[in-house]
Amino acid sequence: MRAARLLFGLALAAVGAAGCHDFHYYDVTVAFNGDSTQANGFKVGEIGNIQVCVMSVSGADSGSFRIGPNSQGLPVTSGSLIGTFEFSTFEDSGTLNFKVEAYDASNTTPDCKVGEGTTSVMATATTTNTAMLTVNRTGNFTCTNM
Amino acid sequence: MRAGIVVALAVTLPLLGLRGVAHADLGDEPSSKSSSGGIDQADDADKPKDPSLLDKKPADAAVAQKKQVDTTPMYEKWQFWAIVGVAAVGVAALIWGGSALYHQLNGGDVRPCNMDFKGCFGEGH
Repeated sequence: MRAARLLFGLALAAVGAAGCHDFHYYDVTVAFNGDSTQANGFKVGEIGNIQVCVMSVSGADSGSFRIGPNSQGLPVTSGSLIGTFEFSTFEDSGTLNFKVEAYDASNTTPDCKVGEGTTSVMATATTTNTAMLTVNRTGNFTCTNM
Repeated sequence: MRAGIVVALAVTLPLLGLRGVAHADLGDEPSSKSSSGGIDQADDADKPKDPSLLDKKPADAAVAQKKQVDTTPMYEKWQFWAIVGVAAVGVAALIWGGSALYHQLNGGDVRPCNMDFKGCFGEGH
């Protein structure tokens, strides 16, 4: 009888602990800074040469996602918007730091990095959260057509 | 000296008498009365003389057959395999149910990626 009570208690504790695992979604819309008048804006025609972006998450949770080439909206054919990417996590507290690094080649070496953008989102118990991330120009297009 | 002999006899004689009584109660030592009766115990007067009465009856055969059936190994009985089958199905159902419950308690399945999104990553992907 005592063992049965203990097992029941453990089962309840397990259920309670496991109940904390609810999915939370962060929908991050990524766009390039296409304002060529700004110092960190891409010049005309440069955005179309961006081949790969790497989206990474740090802070309360971690993750990484490669965008492109020739998929997930890269290279961009028109405008400066790539699209929305959804990151799923069980975390409901802390800060989620999203970073997108842009490269003008298939290889993601530092010398081919042409842009970077970050945004931070407070992790909450809300199921779906949205954020906007702008990628600014950080380097010259030296790897294009390589 | 005389008093010692009297005391010794007073103690020994009752013990000898008790010994005889004990043998009589246990039946280890046939009494002189029974042995002097002249009837051998092996000769049972009540035993029927007719051989047909001593033959095995059909009921005896049935009992013997039942005894033979009972000696069949456990694994050759269908009941054994029925129990094994039910137990196996039960264990499989328990494992599957437990696994499904565990998965559900740990958040379940991640929701499908929206068709309008360019990609989904993170937990569950």
